[in-house]
Amino acid sequence: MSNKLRNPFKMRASERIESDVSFLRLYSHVALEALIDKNNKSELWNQVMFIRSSPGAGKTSLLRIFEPNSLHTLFTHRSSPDYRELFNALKKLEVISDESVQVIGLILSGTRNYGILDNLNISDGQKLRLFYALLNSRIVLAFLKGACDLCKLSFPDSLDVLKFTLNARNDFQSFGIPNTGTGRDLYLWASQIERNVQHSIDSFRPLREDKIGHDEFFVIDVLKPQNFTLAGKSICSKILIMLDDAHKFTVMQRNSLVKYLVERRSDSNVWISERLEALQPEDHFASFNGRDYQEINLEKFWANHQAQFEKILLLVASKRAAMSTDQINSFIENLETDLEEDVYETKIKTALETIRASIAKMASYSSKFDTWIKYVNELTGHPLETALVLKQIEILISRNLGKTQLAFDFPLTLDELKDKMDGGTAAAALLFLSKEYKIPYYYGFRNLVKISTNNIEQFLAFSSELFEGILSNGIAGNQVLLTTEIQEKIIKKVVEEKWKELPKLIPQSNQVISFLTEFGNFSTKETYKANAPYAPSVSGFSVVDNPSNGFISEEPWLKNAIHQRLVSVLSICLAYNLLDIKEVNQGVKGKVWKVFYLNRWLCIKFNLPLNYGGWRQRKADELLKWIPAHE
Amino acid sequence: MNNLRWQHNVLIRNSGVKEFWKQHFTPSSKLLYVLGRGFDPRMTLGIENVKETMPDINIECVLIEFDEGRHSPSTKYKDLVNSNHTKLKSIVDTINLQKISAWSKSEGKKIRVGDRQAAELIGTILQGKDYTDIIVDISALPRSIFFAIIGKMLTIVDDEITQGKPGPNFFVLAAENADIDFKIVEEELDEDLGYQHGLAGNIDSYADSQPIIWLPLLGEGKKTHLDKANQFIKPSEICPILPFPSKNPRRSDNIFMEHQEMLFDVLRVEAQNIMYVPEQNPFEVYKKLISTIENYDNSLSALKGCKAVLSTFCSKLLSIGALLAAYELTYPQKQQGSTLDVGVLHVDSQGYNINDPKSLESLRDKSELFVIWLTGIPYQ
Repeated sequence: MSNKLRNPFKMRASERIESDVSFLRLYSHVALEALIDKNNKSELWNQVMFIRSSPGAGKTSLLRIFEPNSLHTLFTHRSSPDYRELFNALKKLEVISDESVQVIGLILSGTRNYGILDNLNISDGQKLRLFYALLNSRIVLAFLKGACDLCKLSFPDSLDVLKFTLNARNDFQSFGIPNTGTGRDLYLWASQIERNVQHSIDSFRPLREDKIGHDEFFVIDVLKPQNFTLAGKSICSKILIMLDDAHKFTVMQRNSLVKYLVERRSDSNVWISERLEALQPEDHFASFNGRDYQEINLEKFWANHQAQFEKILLLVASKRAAMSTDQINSFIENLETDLEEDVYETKIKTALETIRASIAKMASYSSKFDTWIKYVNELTGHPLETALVLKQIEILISRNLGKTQLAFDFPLTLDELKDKMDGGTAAAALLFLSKEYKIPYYYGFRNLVKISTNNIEQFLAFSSELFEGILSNGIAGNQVLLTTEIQEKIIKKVVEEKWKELPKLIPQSNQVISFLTEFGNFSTKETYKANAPYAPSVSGFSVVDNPSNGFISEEPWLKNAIHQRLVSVLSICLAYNLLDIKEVNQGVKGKVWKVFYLNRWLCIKFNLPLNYGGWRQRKADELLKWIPAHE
Repeated sequence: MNNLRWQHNVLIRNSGVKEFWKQHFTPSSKLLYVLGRGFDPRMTLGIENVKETMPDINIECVLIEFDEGRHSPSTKYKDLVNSNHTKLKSIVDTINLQKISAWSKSEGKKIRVGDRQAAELIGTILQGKDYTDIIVDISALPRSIFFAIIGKMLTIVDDEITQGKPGPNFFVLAAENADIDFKIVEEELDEDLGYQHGLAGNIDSYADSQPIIWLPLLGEGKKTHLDKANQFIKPSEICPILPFPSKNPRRSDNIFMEHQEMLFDVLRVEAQNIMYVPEQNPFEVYKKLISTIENYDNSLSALKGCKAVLSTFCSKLLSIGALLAAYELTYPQKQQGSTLDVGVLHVDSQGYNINDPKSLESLRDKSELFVIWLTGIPYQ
């Protein structure tokens, strides 16, 4: 493949970056924060840990850094300023030291034909035996390859020099593994098992009835650092087994594996990375506290560490831009961050006139706004700022007029006006002004971070097109800086493309798209009310049970068969990162609501602001009406 | 390369098909005709053609119905499916309807099992039967299903030949129509990919670490397919294959332009890796694929050779070439050399959406029939 990287933002996930040097160059050490946080609490090593997120949040990248080739490359370049911060971060995690790489990390992907085993015409017990046989053999093979990569040996030819001695208390001989031997012995054992299982399940010729299979996941006891030596020396101090894409295992396989690991309470390092879709609907909507294992939910982690997430994206953007072979090697600096007011001078002037007229008309019905009108008439200054203040006043008058009139028409004071003008009304004013007068709203790096919704792949989807725009400016000989107008145009184009792609990508697409459309339209309607009641916007909902009719108490919506369609659509939306859940404290003290928010790119689809905040309670029955009964 | 099984082959096209049936079938012919029950108006074209030419032929018609699940976008075309079925009933007296499921669902998780079930079904159908001729009509069958059917049939026929039996004449029939293909759009692409049953080619093995060469046959509108397959395969080298010569001489350029960003910016394909195959000759595809894979394997012998993955994002007719190449390298006949690890990866969808379904019927008659002769008289 070519090493030319015209637009390095188009290379999405780490698994598509084949060179370790390129991977490390693009890797941001800040991505390890979640693990450093766990390590500081002594919750990282010698236990089972789940790493969960929706697609594209960076699970595989997080794991890849622990592979021997990545660590070895980093160790070799440890003095280079480009890699220093990453080296130090991994040192904090006890993965690497100034003397050597300490960990052999091996990744086993759940995408590799484990699911097929569930559909063979054999008993459930035998299916699990084949599953564990395949898992055990592949983990051993991955470890042997990792050991060769780390020690710069040829795999599998040089495995003779790797020796193992197993603890005599563990009898692995019944599985065919001797107590002592070489890496080659282990290789032959594992490759034979893998081949037998594969041939049994994938041939047009009849299924072999071989008695292959293992009853347990015993390799976690074989793969202990003290068991392996090279020229009499230990090869590492930790072995890390990473089961990537574990959501691809069948429910039976995953449950059996998790049960085994949790019940064993083994001190092995096993990290299980999976998408949220591996969870049952109840798990999606429930809390993870009090489980028997450690868990990192990447999106939740970054949602609580926004500053670090922004830092990651800054690093990702600057590292990628620096790799471009075109003349342009910066990204953020080429995104206009402030509205070009001279370009929109006429529109802003029209807005000022129109809003002043609108305020005057609204206030003409009552004398209580006299002080405010005086203020409006005297207001001068920067045109855009003035227009925004006027828009806020328009919203506040609209709110006041909409209230039931209990008070006399005493003039409202200027202090009252200023008290009522808060961040919410300011944000609503900006949104309304942009929409009504077609002034760009979605632009700048800060907004790009918000659009990313804590998901790096999503950030790259948008930033790759913006970088393309920057490159195009360069080729055309124009000013390289992307104007706010062009930024918004590109962002909206990406949103439309992503929306159009949905039927191809998601299951039950008709139902999901109908639901999102209804929800988006509902949010738009609520957001753009003249009095901006939920300023700056509504982009979330919380599901409430239908009220009891007094005689029959209904089941909670999540368990009610009638709402199965809703549960299914919500689960798909969460698994595919179309909605995300946030816990919000509101109302009765201590009451925590689970609020389903639109992913921020969907906010653009429905012309909504990118801030989180406003949400409404909806009954399960009401939400169900947003989903057609049939595809 | 010189010992290719289908080096010399028989491909019968359109106007020659009827004439061929006339010459080939005899009163003692016993024909098994396998086709899919679907909405595609081409479903009955092949069998109509046979029956019009040989109205009295001894024919057993096996109709395969595949259940894609109640959420499949295709369920809205039930009327078209029923109409095709009615048409079939008017052509043949007896229909042996066999149902298979596209999916197996366990505790909310779906696994594609259609290919495995189709292969098992063929094993059962052929057991103890002595058909002189077998036709598999792929016009209304999904790719993973007809790959399994044809692969399974070939192994059964090959085993018979190994045992000294003559084996039947085995034909694959395809009704080609690019306009209809454009109108049928795949929806809800599979999230969980996996290699084709029977043609997984040991690609997933952890015991070796040869580089993987990926050869996707490209057609229109396959950007998402390419992206998904690439993420799954993680190839070391990609050789996209475009259809040329083609009826529309600009077709390969159009496909190329449509996918250029994916090919060059995302997948970073080397321009010199792009290959061309004739649009309407699966045997040429087969030869080109085998020679490419063998060349790579030889060139990379210092790395213990290579593995290859074939993906068919193209017409069904061309995809037969990929099937034959993968089959030959995975299940070689005795006289040929050792196997190469070649896998087939499809990106299946959970259903289809038809742009302007009413127009399909009028386009039907513009379809071209192709008969691909795989075993039997010419190869004995």
